[in-house]
Order: sequence, then structure tokens, then C-alpha cells
Amino acid sequence: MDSSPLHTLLNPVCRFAAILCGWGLLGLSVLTCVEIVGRKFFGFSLNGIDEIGGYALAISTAFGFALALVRRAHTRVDLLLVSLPARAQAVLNALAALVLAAFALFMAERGYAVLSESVEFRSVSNSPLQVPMWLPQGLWLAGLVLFAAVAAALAVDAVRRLLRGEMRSMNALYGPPTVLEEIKEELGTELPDLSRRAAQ
Amino acid sequence: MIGLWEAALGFAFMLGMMFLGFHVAVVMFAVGLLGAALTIGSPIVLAAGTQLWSASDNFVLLAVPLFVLLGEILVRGGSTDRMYRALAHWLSPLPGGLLHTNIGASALFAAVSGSSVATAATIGTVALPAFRNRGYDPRLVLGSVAAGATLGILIPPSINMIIYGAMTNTSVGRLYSAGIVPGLLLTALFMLVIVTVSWWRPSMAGAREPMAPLRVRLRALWGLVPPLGIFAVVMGTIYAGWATPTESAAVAVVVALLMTAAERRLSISMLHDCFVATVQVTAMITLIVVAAFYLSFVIGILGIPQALARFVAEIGAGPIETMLVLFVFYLILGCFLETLSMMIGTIPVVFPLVLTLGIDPVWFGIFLVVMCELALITPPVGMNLYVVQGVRREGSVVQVIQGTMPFLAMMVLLTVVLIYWQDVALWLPRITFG
Amino acid sequence: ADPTAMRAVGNFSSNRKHVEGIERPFFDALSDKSGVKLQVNYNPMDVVGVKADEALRLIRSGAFDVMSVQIGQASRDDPFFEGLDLIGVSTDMAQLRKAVDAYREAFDQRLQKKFNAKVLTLWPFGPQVFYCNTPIKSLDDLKGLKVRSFTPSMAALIQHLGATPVTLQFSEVYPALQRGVANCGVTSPTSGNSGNWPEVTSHFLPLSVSGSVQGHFVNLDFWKKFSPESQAKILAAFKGMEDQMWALAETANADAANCNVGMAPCTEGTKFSMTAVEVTPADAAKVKAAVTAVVLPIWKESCNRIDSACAQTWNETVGKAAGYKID
Ligand code: NA
Ligand code: NA
Repeated sequence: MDSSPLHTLLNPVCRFAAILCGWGLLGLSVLTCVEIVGRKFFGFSLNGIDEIGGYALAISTAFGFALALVRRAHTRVDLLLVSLPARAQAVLNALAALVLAAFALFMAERGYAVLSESVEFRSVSNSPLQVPMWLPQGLWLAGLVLFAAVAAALAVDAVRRLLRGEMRSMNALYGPPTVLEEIKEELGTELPDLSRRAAQ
Repeated sequence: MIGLWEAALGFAFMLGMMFLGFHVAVVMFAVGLLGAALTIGSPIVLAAGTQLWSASDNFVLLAVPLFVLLGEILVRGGSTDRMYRALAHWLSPLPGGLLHTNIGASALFAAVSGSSVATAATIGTVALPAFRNRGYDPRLVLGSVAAGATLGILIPPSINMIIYGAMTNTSVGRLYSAGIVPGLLLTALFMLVIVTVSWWRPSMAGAREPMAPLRVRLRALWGLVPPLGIFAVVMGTIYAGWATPTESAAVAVVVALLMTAAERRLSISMLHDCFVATVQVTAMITLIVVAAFYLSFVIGILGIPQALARFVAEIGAGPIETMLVLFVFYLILGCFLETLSMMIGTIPVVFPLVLTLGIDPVWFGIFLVVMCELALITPPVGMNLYVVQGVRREGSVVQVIQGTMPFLAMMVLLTVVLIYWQDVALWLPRITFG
Repeated sequence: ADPTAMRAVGNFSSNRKHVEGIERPFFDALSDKSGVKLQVNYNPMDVVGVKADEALRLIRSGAFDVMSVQIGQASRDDPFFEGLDLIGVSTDMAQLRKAVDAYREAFDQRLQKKFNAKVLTLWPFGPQVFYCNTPIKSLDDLKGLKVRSFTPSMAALIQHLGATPVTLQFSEVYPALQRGVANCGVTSPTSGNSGNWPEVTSHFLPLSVSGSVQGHFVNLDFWKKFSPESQAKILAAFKGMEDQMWALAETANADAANCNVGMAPCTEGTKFSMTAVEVTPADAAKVKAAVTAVVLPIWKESCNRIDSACAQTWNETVGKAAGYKID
């Protein structure tokens, strides 16, 4: 994958958050097995795994938004884009980065409003678990804030590169990934001489 | 409340923004916001936060990361290689030889994978080297992988079915069960294509493969244990009522992990790579889903689905006519849009219409999944075509496209069969779930 | 003058009798019936993708002008509202009506002050009763069984009776009862009947532990657009709908209870042949004891945490009407 100092800085942060989320998902899977066996054979229930599962999804996707952004995985339609001249592509890529940053900031601001209402009402989940809502929503908001920060940083970098006329690096960093890059993601491993061909 | 013309304008605007390369999720969300701001006002714009939270705090959708994680563990653990070789021993003596193995391996991998693109990448990587210097027509080899892999979302588990279930409140267990018969039927139709071609043009299908001794073939069956075992765990726990579909995904993850560990193929760094890939793919999907939940909220308030339903009622279209029109609509849309965007973006408007027409929501889910399968192999935007071409790394994508054509015809045939004999999908859920 | 636009969110569309039978016709005719010029945009909550537990926030912000609210779910944002229908306090519809009328004023005050909204209607889905797949003769036989519960106080009641509470989403209850993941489920006779629970359960105990109370609330900013005369007319119209809902809860559930156990008259529901378990005074006494022992203390703790006068207000209203006192 093409890289810039900014991407090199952001990637490990997002990766670390994703690994934590992964362990959370794995722990939840183990608990779910305990719940199923307990419910079926021993007449006990951990009560509320499904509720925690919902929170786990909200939190790990919020952190994942930033990771997917740094690794250019958020879906875009590149049909028309790739056939345009480099300069037009660069302008559209910078615009897309800007609009995405605006969206991420709006999400974080609205997420903050949700959390502050939960704090104001001292809301507690309406289930036998009685989870204070600020807890899952606070972690969710942390993920959204990371997303907003990453999106804003990348948008600033994209516009800066555009203004300096660095069209080629700009498109390589902020354009949709090529198919070869996507397959590499999908398989998780580098195919031999794949990246070399991608550079040709 | 706005009319159909304004709505169509909004849809065209949405497609336009997508083609300019803006992020699909952002476009859906922005169209929702714009619709709300122009017609209703700020309270609905500000309600976005509440709606974002309730869209992502969703236990049904948790199955998405769990199945992605499952696939990651299986592929990185090397289970797929052995599965392909085992199937080759049994299927390649058929007329058409090793080509059948592509279809069989795709169908089997589909039984543990929730994604067609992942199936294409996985089967493509394992299969294509096996065909070197064997005299098969490359188009047929590539087409069988690209088309076969679309089974990934029709044969359960299926990420598309999970998302459809979450967005429309349809039972994911029933959807899984409804996908099995059409999935097997499509597998059989694909194999029929291969048999027909090898009979009509023997030169395209390569020589028939010799059969290995029974002892060798029996030993190879071990390779089928991981995928079949995990499929049995997923469907078995749901059918026996032990687990909900999401819980069954969690069990499958644990079972796959134990299998990989037992084979000494598990390491912390491999696990961390699996986690990162899982969180990334899930976030990519969920961002579109939460944006679509908000769009759907606004569209519902604006009364667009009701207006569409009234329009359909006024022109007097019945369920069958409507489904045929939707078939054409999705066939065209699928040429240009990536499948999840296509499915998620249209559910808010189309699903209420389907309900008013009295069409079974489980059946419609299966129909939508088949439309997504078609979209995966129709040019110009057909992800499976490019994935297979990318794995192959030579020649032109045109050969892949040519190779999928006979299989594409079978998918069209399946769609027509589905529309006229809805029981093909609905029979199994009826006898398993009542 | 131009009609005032009203965005209304109704109940879940799967509750067809409430949504298609009462709400939609009501909102369609509201303008004519009340004589106040309105242009109503009505949608069931699942059609617009609104989750029941977000209702109070959405009505407060003015996202919608009128909303159908499930009080139990919405209590996430204020446990005070749950006081209307605490588990086990009202064991039949007549008692529930007394409790609701006693609490209505305090409820409305609280809603206006904290959530910028006003009560238009309060009504029940119907008695929440037991469906079991094992032979039971009384509440005593619940000991050791797995009973599906969905709120903290219900879990407490079930535990107090010696049973194990399990949490399952509503759609999962049928398969869970079928395969023995749970032994008993609690819902109304109509919901259980239309969800075919009698296919997977054998014993029907019509002891009601709650009425599953719902309401229609109006955003105050929207409400203040109307003159006092118009407000009175609209209130009167909603009062008519409230009565319809109460009547539906009583008649439809009586009918469905008959259908479940194969008795006549059974005109609306599907006829099944469950064994009817008689509710004895001893069972009623057991529930009463459980209310005092666990339900009220648990609720007091969560509600007084938000507002120290909570239990006192309850004692003076519902408590007085139902014969309970929180210490
Ligand atoms: Na699958
Ligand atoms: Na396509």
C-alpha cells in the first residue's frame, strides 16, 4: 500500500484499537458458547450476552471506521473516476476526503449529544443487566472521535497535496484502491510479485 | 411528504454523487440529511445521533464480524487448500473434469463463508494453479470460479442475508434455510453447464481426469471435515433451537479456532491479522448500513414507499409483474453498483412495496441475494470478475467475462424459476420452522 | 388558515389490530373529527425505523409531534414512568385502570418537565400471562423452570418464585419454547395466540403480572401552536382512542384466552387446546408477597436514585389505589 508520513503515523494507532476490539469479539464468542451450553444442559443463563453483543458491535465498528479509512477500505464507485485525467481525479479525491471529514465530524458531534442525554437522564438499560448507558455510549463516542480526527487529518493532508500540485501522490493516497490492492486485502497475504505489477 | 418525481430526482442525485467517487455511505447519509433539511427541518437532522446509535447497537448485525473472523481464521489456517484437493479426487472424473471441482469447492466454501468476494479470492487462489498445462479453455476455468464463488452469499451463512434480516426484521434463521435449496439448485445448474460444454465442445474441457485409488480418495476426505463440521455446527445449532443465528456464528468462530489450534497453525500474530481484517471489513460494511438506516428513516417519514406502492397499485401491477420489473431494475443497477450498496440502498424504498403486495419477506430476501450474485459478475462493475482476474495476473478480464456468460444464463434461469415457483425458496423454511 | 402539519409515529405494524384497526383510521380522521385543521403524516414506528427505547428522546427533540410510546422500554430514560405498571402490582385490567388513573397526573407533570411532552393517552396491550410447556398447577410449580423475562423487576419476580429468568428477544421465544431452551414465556393472550405459542406450550396460567402499558405523547412546542379550544378538541378525540384501546385490550384478550384453551366464544383468534390453569387466591397472595419483597424495593432504588421523592409520589398515587406501600 502506498504510504505517507501521516498514514505511517495513523496506521498503528488504528491497528491497535482494532486488535483490542478483536479480542473483545473473541471473548464474547467464548462467553456465548458458555451461555448456550449452560442454557441447554445446566439450566443457567449468563443473561444479557445479546445486549453486550449489541454494544460490542457499535463500539468495534466505531473504532473500525478510522482503520478502514486509513486503509482506504470505505466503499467508493471508481467506474467513472479512473477514466478521468489525473488533475480531475485529484480534485474529486480531495472533495471526497473533505465531505467524508464533514460527515465524520457531524457523526461525532451527534454522538456526543446522545452521550450527554444519557448522562443527563442517568439512563440505565432496560434489561436485567441494567447497564448505565454512558458506558457503552462513551466507548462508542471515543471511536467516533478517533474517526473524526483521522478523517480531518487526512482531508487537510489531501487538500495540501492538491494545492501543491502533487497530483500523482495525491491520487495514489486518496483514490479508491486498485483491484490488486483489494485482493491483497481479501486474501490477507501478499501474492508473489503482485505489488510489483501494481506499480507498473 | 414528497412525490415520486422528487424521489426519483433524489435517487438520480444519489447515483450521480456515487459515480463522482464520493464515499457510498457519505452519499446515502447526505441525501438523507438533505431530504430532511429541505422538507422537514432541523429536528429530524438532529435526530441523526439517536438513529446512528440504535442502528449500530444491533445484536443481529454482530453476526457480520463473527463470520468475517471465521473466514479469516479458515483461510489463514490453510483449511481451504486441503478442501480443494479432497474435492478434486472425487469430482474430476466427471465429464468436464477439474472444472466441477471449482463449483463444488465454491459451494462448500460458501457453507462457511458469508461473502462471495472472499469465496472468489480464496477458491481462485487455490484453483487456478491446479489448471496449469492441463489443456482446459481458460475462459471456462475463470468463469467457473467467478460464477461459482457467487454461491458464497446464497448458501448460508450469508452477510447479505444478515443485513437484510436486520434491516427488515426478517428471521435470519429462515433466510438461511431458504437459501439452501436455490443454492444447491444453482450449483447443479452450474455443473450442468460444464457437462454440456464438455459434451458439445470436448476440446474446451480438457481430458477427463483418471480416478485415484479408493484408498487415496478416502483419505483425502479428511480435508472436507473442517468446512462440513462448521456448516453442521452453524445450521445444526440454529435448527435444534440451541442458538440464534448470531450465537451460532460465535460458536463457529470458537470451533474454527480450536480446529486451527489442534493443527498447530494458530499464532498470536496470525490472530491479530485476522482481527484487523475483520474489524476493517465490518466497519466498511456497517458504515453503509448505518447511513442507510438514517436514509431509510427519512424516506419513511417522507412517505416515498407509500407513494411508490400507490403508483404500482394505480397502474395495476400484480406481484409477478412487479417482481419481473424489479428483476430488470436490479439487473441494470447491478452492472454499475457494488452489491451491498445496491441492496442496502434500495431496501428502504422497495421493501415496503414488497410488503404491500403481499410478497413473502423471506422469499424477497432470497431474490435480492440472487440479484446481488448477478451483480457480482455483470460488467463493468462486477467484483468477482476483477478478483479472479487479479488472482490470475495475466491476459485480459474480457476472458473472465466471456467465461461467466453460460453461468450467468443459469442465474437468470434460476431467477425466473424463483419468481414463478416461490416454493423453491420457501419449502425448506416451512418444513424446518413451521 | 392552512392546516397544521403533524408528524405522528404509531405502534409496531405487527400489532395489526392496534395499528390498522385503530391508530391509522384515527389519525386519518383526526382533522375532521376534532374540527382542528391538521395534515397528518402517520407511520408505524418500525416503518420509519424508530426503536421503542428512543421514544422519549425523539419526542423531546421534536423529531416527531405525536408518538406512540411503549412505557416499559422508554423507562430506560426515566424509571419513574415504569411506576405506572410495576410487575405484579395490578393483576387484572380493572386494577390496572385504577392504577393508571391514579398516576396519570404525576406522570404528565414529569413528562412535561423532563421531556417537553404531554400525555394524550395511556392504555394497555393486555394482561401479560404465563404460557408453559411443562404441566403446572400453580405458581409453585414454576420452581426450577426457565422463564423468559425482559425487565429487571420481572427477572426479580421470577427469581423470587424459584424459577430461572432467561433473556430472549421476542422472535426467539417460539423456537426456545419449542426446543425447551425456555419452559415458560410471558405475553398477552392475543400476542401469544397470534404468535402460535400454544403450538409449543401446553399450560396456560391467566395470572396477569403486567398490562404492558402504552401511551401517545405530544411534543409541547407543537402542542402550544394550538389555541386552548383546539387543544381541548384534540384531547377529546384522543380520549376516544384511549377508550377504544382499553376496550380492545379487554375484549380481544378475553377472546384470545378462550381460543388458547379451546373454549367458546372464540371469534378472532386461532383455536388451540391448552390446559387452563386456574388462578387461585394462594397464587395471587404469592405475587403480592413478591411485589413487597423484591419488586418495589428494586424499583425504589433505581427511581429514587434519579429523584428522591419518587417512592413517596408512588405511595400517594398507585400505592394508595392498589394497597401497597414502599417503605
Ligand atoms: Na455462505
Ligand atoms: Na455488476
